[in-house]
Amino acid sequence: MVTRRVSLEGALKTESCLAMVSHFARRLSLSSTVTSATPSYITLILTGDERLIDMFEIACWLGPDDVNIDTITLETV
Amino acid sequence: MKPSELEAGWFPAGLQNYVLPKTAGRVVIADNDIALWRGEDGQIRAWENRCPHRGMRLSYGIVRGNTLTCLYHGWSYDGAGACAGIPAHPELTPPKTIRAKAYRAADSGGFIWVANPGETTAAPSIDGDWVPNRSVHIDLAPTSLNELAEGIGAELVSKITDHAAIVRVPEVKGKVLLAFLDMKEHGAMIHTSVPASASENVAIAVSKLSTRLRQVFKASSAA
Repeated sequence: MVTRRVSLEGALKTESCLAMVSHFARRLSLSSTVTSATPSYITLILTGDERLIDMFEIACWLGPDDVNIDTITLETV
Repeated sequence: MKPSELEAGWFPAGLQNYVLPKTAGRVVIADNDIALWRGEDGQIRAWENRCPHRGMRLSYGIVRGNTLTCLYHGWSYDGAGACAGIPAHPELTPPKTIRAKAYRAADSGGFIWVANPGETTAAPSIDGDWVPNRSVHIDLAPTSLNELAEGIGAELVSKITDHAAIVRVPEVKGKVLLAFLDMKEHGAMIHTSVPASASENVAIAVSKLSTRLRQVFKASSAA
């Protein structure tokens, strides 16, 4: 189990993006806490299997139609 | 297509032999895209036709033993819908939360029946042994069983659901199990079964009946 701070940047429709983040975290059995959310920047803390956190990142890259992600950063907490 | 709930009740999704053991197929019920598959155990399963990983149609998947493997990245799912393996991470035990949405599914009367996961009624129980006869597509879905039966001059003997009944048809000796699957703007599928004891002539007559239904519910004759 590892913990990562995940930052998403781009044209994020906040509501869609938060729904996406919550859906993928739940599906991948990751514990998630959103620490900030704006239309251009969302950060969250994820805890779980490192490989599942990697899957989470890939899933976010291919998120919903109305979310355009430019950057995803993962940092060790 | 959007994943949503079916209307309440059981739907005749196809003939029992449409999906043989170790194969997968596809059915559309209203707006719901559904993968049907059978493992080696022969049990019919109906899932949302969408891999939880990348959304690929699971009906294109490969059945090995009693698991269904998505054709795209090879994620496999056990008979209950739980992810059983991810090829890119062979050491990983997939979390239980990665699972396909499973509908209820059953074989009865030579048909495959599908219902919502939360359907509280039992699958249709049809007396006697029946064998699948024929499925045909019709352009226009009948509005009711009565309209379907009238289309071939059949008499309803016993209603099974709003979409299926045992009927008698003048030119066929014996009973026929007749069902339709409404696919909205895509028309409908008509499925027929005959008693296991029926002769070959009866089976042929019922098959011809299906052809007649196709004519009756043809789009060009609707006006």
